Amino acid sequence: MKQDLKPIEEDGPERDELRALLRRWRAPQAPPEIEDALQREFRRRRARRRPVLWVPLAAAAALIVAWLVRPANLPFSTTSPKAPVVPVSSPAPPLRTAEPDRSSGATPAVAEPGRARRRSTPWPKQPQVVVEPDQAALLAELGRTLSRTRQAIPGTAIPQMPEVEVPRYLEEWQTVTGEWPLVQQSDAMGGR
Amino acid sequence: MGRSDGALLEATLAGDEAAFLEIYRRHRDRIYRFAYRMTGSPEAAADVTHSCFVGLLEVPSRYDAQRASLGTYLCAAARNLSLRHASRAWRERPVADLAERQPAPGPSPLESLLEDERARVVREALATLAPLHREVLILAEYEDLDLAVIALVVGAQVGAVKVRLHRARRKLRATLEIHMRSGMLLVE
Repeated sequence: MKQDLKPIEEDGPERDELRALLRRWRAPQAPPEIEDALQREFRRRRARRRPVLWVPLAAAAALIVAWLVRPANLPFSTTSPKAPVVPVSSPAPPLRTAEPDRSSGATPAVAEPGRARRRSTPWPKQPQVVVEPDQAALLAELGRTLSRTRQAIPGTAIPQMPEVEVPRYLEEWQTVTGEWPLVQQSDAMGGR
Repeated sequence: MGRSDGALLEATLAGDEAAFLEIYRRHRDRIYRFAYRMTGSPEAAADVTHSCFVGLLEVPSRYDAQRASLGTYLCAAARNLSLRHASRAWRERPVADLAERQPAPGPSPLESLLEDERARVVREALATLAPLHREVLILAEYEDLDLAVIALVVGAQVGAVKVRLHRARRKLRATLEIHMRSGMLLVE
């Protein structure tokens, strides 16, 4: 037994006498009105709590239904590939909202502002080359010129450099002693 | 064998009214008796008991099953609520207008009168105790709780409870000594 739980010795017989005296004061039973009041309180709280539980459930169900009945050709459909994230610092690609592509039926007639950057076709996997507008025109002109040149001269290829034998003095080098900074010369030159 | 207090509390929080009433019926007598003896008023005891169980519905997270049993927790809640009443009663000392509502157990009117008078003397002697002394005496002598549980209920160390209990008994004995000498509180 713990020290604190030991009975106090001086409370031995006197304690029994005192306890017998105290027992003369009896407490009544709890009145039944308390149980009735608690029952009403419990029902009131449960009724008040029910809508709180059902609101998020109803909202979740509505969202699921809205997701299931959405049009299949919406640009944010899950079947379309995810558009890559364009860095903010880089110039955004030109939006084709003014002239929508009529050939594909998937594009809506009027592009919504929030959906203008979403595309149903995947982005090219090649790295994006950012150029100035004038540079783009020059590059396009260069490409066209190169294409015309190749079409005019079929079989054109980059000329190969002829293989040349390396001179011996370029392969044998040695450090010149006594010089600062270090100087190297070929054996052919040193032998002169 | 019925469900445990923890299972009943879980069912209560899930909306099971029968589980809540079962918790109440298990613990109502001790809570009400304790509150009645602390406040000395049946109305205040009913108010404390009601608030005690409503508090369990309001903030059930306050009850930590790792620290104490549900009965001990409810007793501690009743103690806190009773102290508010008792502290007012302690300042105002309204012991003169306390009325005993229970029917007298004695067979004859004279015996009933004597029993009522003895109960009144004991009740008034308890009312002279400070609330911190009265609560430990009630929990120890009427509810038969051991010192460790009393310490949990009143939120004190076991040693402090022991000291308070000793002082409460000494003070009560001194208060009742006059009546004991007169033979009115003779122990059969």
